[in-house]
Amino acid sequence: MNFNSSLQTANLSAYWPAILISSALGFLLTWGLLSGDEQGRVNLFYLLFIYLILPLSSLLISVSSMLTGKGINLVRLIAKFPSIIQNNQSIRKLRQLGIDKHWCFYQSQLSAMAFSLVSLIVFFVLLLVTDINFVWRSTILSTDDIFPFLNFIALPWSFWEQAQPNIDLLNATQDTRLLGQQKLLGHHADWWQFILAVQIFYSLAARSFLLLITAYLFQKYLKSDVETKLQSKISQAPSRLAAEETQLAVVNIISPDILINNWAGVEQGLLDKLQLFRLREDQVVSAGPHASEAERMVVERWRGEQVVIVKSWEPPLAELADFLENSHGYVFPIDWQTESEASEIKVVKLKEEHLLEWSRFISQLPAWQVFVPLTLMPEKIS
Amino acid sequence: MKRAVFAVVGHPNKGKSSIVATLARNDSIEISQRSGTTDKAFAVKVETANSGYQLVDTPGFQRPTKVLKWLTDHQVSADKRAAVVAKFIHDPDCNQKFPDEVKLLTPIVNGAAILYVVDGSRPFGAEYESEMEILRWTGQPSMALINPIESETHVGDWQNALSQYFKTVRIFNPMKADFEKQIELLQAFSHLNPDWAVTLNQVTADLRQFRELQKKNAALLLARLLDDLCSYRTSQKVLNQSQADVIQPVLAKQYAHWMREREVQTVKELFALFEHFQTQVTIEELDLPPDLFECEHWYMWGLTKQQLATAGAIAGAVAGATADMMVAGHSFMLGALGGGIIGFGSAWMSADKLVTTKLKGLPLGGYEAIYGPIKNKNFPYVVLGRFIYLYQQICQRNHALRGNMEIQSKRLHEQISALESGDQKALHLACSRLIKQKNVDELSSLLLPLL
Repeated sequence: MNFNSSLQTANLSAYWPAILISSALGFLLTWGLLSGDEQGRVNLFYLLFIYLILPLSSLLISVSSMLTGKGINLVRLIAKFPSIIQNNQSIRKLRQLGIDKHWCFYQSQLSAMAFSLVSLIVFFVLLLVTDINFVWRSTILSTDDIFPFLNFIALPWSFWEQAQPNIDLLNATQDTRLLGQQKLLGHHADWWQFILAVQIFYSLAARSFLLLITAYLFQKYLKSDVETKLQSKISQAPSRLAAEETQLAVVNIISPDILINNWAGVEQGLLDKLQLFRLREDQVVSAGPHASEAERMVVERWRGEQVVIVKSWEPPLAELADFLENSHGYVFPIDWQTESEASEIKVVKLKEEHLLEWSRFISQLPAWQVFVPLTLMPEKIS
Repeated sequence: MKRAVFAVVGHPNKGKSSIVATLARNDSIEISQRSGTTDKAFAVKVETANSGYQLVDTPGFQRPTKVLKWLTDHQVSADKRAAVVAKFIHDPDCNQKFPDEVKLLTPIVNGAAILYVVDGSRPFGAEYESEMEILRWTGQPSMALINPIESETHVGDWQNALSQYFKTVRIFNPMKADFEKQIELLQAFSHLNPDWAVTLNQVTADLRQFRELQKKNAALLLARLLDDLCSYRTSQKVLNQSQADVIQPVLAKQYAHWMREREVQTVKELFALFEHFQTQVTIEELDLPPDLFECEHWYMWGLTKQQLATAGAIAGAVAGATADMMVAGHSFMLGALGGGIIGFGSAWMSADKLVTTKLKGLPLGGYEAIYGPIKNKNFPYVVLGRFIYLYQQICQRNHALRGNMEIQSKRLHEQISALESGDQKALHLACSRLIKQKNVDELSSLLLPLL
């Protein structure tokens, strides 16, 4: 199932109803005109009308309507009949993207190309299987009036000698129905290369050029669409890795006579409140950032077990890790709160994330364990 | 124009990366409750339409006391302190002993301004003084940011302590600071170094402009969503009415699934529009009305009766026009007119017979089980309400947040009442057209005032 709204719907595949209509038009017009009269005479001016004037004027209308934003073209016209268009859902999507006019314009170029190709094929087939006598008639124009015009339109293929207009041929192929005479019989077919060149350059090549530009612009608009950009950003966004689980290993009871290393520099009153240690004067030492050099030396010489008191919310620093490397014992993270400036400090239960952080830190130091009395264990864990 | 560079420094786990993520609008920056997640300094470029600046996320201080001791052991006069810090970061021995401090001080020595981050919910500790002293030694412009991670209980104490070392002290919660607070902070940054004022002022102007663009694009996404959800239908060709009834639950499931996925797609796009790519979303199911099932006839090539009649009329008219051409227009185009009428009439009259007719064993008509589109006139407002709720959540959501988001419907009444009566009328008209499967021009412009 296609969940994506507009983006996948907007593509450059051909819109067949329009192509069929223009192909049929190309076939009927070319066949109708080239069939000529009973002598196989075909008016050169009529051919110039359908292979030069019609393609050029429709191209100009198409381009100008595109530039002015009116969007007058065959496909847009067809799309106005929702009961015929089976895929008007696609037109709706294109309208959402604001590229419906571009799409219609692109499809119109495809249709015009279909018209040109079918006309060319029919023209070629008729050249092969029947005799076509190209003539021209005019009440007021003479060869001298027409020749410069034909020369001008033949400028794009000046390198193609056989397809250039020829004054003698022009004279020879002038026809009048009153006289009914045919001069230079056998040369009437010589215009075919000129007509072929007109078709190729003014109908096929011009539309192909426009088709390529439109396809490029269509893709450009599509790529610059906000949803296209967002979808691309979503697909390129890195995914976040899940965090590893931490194994919790906590000791809840230790000896009350153990050496206390007040690393965090907590107040003596707070230690009293813990009621976990005997707190003899020689039992409390300090080696933390607040300690003097002499105090640190004393603790560093100690080889027995100790409990290092730290602030639970402060992440363990490398400074502490450096110290712990040379001794052994327990790290005791504590947390406290004051309701207000005047109120007493209260030791509180640890937060789960703080305990996990200390557990992770201690797990890398084999000689150390985390100590937290049961009364201070985080609620979720205890 | 010289671009500003800020090194975000401080103790580990005080929200440095959160501040970088919020200011850079980048939710891929790793933020964790584990300390040491940021193990090296990395620069995040904040690019705006016409300007930009750089934030350098750094590892936290790990051995500040020892580093300060090293610096003071090389005691020199105040004018040489910055040079001693530069010597510290280039010293191979220091690189080995104090890798974190070297990484965090390097951008500062290279010219970055300092953003020192602390946690205002926890009491000030004297151990922070070493860090602040080291930063003072660098002589670079600096600002302290108090991040009240859990509460603002100790903000006052911190302000007193920080103002001893920093000229500017600000409270900034990267999880909650709204767009205006972020802009205010950027404006404060511009005062740190006069050389950066122009580029940083341009950054704030660009960000405001970008915000407006995001809003416009959000309205566009909403317009497309609304259009799609109001027009979507799913169908299946079947042989008879009873087969259609059997297939109804399957179509209902398909329909609900499509509607849900379509909404999810827009939700993801809306997150991406605001540069959120990592948020997990839980969406409350859309409440779909139960009466969406229909069974219709279809005829040749899957046309409806009306389509078949139109095609018949066109074919008849073309045939008639050909006849007109053959008589060189002497028929006054009556052939085309008559052909059209005959084609329409015969297609309309014989349509019902086609349902049971077969051509070489292939049926020329049949039934179509259809689910949707929704015709309930309240449905567009439900979609609007959900989207607006989501929009308000996302545009206020900071990039430092990592939690899930839940989406619920929201009453639209307030937003619609706030619109001018002309806009209200236009909105109601647009919703009514959508339900009738009609095109609404400039739908996103109509929806923009709701956001």
